[in-house]
Amino acid sequence: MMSSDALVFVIDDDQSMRKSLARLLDAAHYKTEMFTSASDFLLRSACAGPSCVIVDVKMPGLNGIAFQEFLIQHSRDEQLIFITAHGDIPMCAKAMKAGAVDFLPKPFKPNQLLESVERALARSTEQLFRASERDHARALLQRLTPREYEVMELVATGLLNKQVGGELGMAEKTVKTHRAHMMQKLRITSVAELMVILQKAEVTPPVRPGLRPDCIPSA
Amino acid sequence: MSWVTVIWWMSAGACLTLAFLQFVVWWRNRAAQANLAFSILAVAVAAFAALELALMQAETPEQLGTVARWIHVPAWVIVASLVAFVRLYLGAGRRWLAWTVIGARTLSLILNFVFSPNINYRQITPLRHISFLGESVSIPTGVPNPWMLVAQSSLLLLVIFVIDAAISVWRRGDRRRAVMVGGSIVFFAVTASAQSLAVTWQIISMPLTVSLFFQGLVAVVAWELSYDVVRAASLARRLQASEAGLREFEERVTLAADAARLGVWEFDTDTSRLWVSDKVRELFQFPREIEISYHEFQQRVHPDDRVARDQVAQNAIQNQTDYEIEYRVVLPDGKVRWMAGRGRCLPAGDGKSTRLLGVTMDITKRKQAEELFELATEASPSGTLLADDQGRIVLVNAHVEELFGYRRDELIGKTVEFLLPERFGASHGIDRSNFFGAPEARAMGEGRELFGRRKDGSEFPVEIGLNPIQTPHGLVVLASIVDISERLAAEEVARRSRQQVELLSRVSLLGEMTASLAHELNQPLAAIVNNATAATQYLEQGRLDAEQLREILADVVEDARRARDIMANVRSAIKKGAAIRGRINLNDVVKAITHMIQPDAIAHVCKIRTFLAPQLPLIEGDPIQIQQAVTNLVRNALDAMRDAPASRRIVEIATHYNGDGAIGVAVRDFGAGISEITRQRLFEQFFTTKEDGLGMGLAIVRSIVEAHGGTITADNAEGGGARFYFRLPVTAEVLA
Repeated sequence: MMSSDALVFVIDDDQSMRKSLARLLDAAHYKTEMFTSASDFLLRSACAGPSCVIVDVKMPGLNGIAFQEFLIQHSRDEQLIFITAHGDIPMCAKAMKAGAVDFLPKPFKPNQLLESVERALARSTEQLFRASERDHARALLQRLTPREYEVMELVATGLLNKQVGGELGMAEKTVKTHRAHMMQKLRITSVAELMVILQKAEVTPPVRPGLRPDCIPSA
Repeated sequence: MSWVTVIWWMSAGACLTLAFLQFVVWWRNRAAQANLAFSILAVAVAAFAALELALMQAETPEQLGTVARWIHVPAWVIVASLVAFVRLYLGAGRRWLAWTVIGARTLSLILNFVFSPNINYRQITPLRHISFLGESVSIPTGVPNPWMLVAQSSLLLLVIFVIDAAISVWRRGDRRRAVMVGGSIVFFAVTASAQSLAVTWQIISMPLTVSLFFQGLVAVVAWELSYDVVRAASLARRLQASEAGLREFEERVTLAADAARLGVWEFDTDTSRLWVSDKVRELFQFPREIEISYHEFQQRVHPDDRVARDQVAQNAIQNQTDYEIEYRVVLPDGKVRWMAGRGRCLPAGDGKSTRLLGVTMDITKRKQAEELFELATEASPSGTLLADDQGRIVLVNAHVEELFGYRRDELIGKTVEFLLPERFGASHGIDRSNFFGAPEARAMGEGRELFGRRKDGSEFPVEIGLNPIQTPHGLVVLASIVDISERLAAEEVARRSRQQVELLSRVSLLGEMTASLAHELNQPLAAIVNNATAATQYLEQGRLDAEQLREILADVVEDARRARDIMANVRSAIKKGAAIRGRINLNDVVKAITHMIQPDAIAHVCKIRTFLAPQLPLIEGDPIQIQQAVTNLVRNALDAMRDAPASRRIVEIATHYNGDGAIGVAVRDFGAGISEITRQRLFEQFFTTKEDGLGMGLAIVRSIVEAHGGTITADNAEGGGARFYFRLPVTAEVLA
């Protein structure tokens, strides 16, 4: 069971459906918010805590699938659970590929829905955690000067100080100084730790010079 | 001067004058040989007269004998020229007799010179002088020569010859001439001989005056000849008059020929001279005033037709017949024209030379029209056949050959029944006479399937259109024959695929219906389950109060009722055959129908046009029923235009919405429209104007429209045709 600050949004044009879902989720101790249309939901500011959206596929105005596309286009990462009275397989496949948590045909078993909600909220929580770690790692990396960042990138590819100097046209000694500052600023002691930070920051891993795919000599 | 001298010289002079005149006549017209013969005769008579005078004035018996001997020369000439004159002038007399006369006379002339002093006398003893016309003239006395009979017999033969010739002229009908010429010759010849005999045999005592008799003969013949001249002059006058008439006639003929654009020509086979009218020169583009030879004329004829044209002309000349031919000519400017030529060979008056008379007409336009007609017939995409009022085939095009497998020449002249299966043949003869009784363009054998029979006996379905054509030679029928086996096959395929489409659309509608049913039912069912589950949870958590439970249960009941209503609706729909309520976009319905009914429209050679109102609100209703209603109206529209010309066969389907809460759908055709009587009963059940109709279509439409809370009307549209218009209320929610 997730923390009580988790929010479940329901978007459905059918009033009785909304009402029954509100009760079901309330009975499962979820906080809920009801919307009669997808556009109503988009008027609400994004939720900071873990959340998920239960959305009806067939609705007047913006339908479920179009709503999902809109979110992806605007880089919103709400976890979506689709419910539908007459979904078909292509529609389902499309929604799942696009990252939906589940696609439930009505009538669904209430537990099925609740499990999906649980999963969606877990994904949401994890997402939030990853986002905070990413933000932290990015904040550390932003402390580096441009020169230190260049050195860091080459070090991350496994080059020796001498090689880094050669690449950047500086003395080995200077490289050592930049490297030390870099390690200090990132509060790390090894290259392995550097790699973890880069991963968390979701930065594209640097490529070692001479090993770029277009430079690999053919056998 | 004595009387004798005066008379003899005068008569000789008269003879010479007549001779000169007739000689001039002959000189002018060499064909007038009779005049020449007369001229010689007259000269001979003059000579005879002169010698006779010498005879009378002879001093010695020797002198007399010599003159009497020489007198036989003009006598011979007289006889010979008389014979020739009779032959030439009368155109009669036996040839052998003529020669006998001349032969006998010649013999006497020879004997005359053999005997001394002449044929008349053996010996001339002293002359006697007697008084004649108050003058002393010498007459011979002596021993007559019996050979003299030869000379006399020649005169007798001459008489016989002339009588014979006169008889045949008499018989020929020219009695005047027979009497005048024949009679005078006989009379004067007989009297002359008699006188000479009497004188010679000294029966009478007078000098020889034979020349006077001959002068009488000359006078009579001269009279006869001048009568001819007078007659010829009057003939010439009459000829002149008739020539003027002839010229007038000729002018008229020329005018008529010109008006008819007829070129006239004449060809003389003896002289090979060709005379052509100005029109011929114009037609053949020959320069004026220059004589044209037959060869030049032939050169104008198209090389391909040249031999044929020459052959018919030569044939006509040989057999003295007529001919007709159509040929092409190549003009100097290179243009080719078609000519129709007709000729007639006329024997000339004398039965020897012949003339070929002909007319020529430019028939290029007609030929071009014929060619055009043939080309058009050949180019016709269907089999084309021309038959006369007896049903005999006059013309076919290549398609007919192809369709039936016969060659053209195997069909021409056969009756059209030849191309039909035998089971049609007998009745077709009757059909044909009916057609000619009331000829009008129509399709043959309307209402039943027609078959053609190929050469190999196989049959194939055909469609035959008949067009009567009134020609100057009577009524002919132009039949166009189309092999419709492919079309029938295509129609069969189209019919099947239409059935399939209908089936498919039914199936897909059923699928949609099921889907919509599922949606409708699942919604309340899901809500019920959710509510029940929530209630259970609350109960387990011990936080369910009575108020909340009542609310939940009320909602469950509401959802359950909703589900029951849906089910009830479905049941009634199934019972009625439909009545599934859904939200319908009438534009979609119209589009679906346009698509579905397309095969029918093609079969009816009809276009369907749609005029869809943009952004149509939805209506609530049964999609299948609404579709059924519109389909019925469109089918009715198609049927209503069966007899309309193809260009007018259009069905217009339009949707209207002007925001007043109802959507209008109009289906309009361009057929005959609706009569007032029909309109009153239009929507009644079992009322129909179609032969095979049930009278259900519009009744169903009305019940569907009314079941959806709508209304339907029918009226005649502007510009002809019927217009059905129904209005259906828009869904309340949409309006809200």
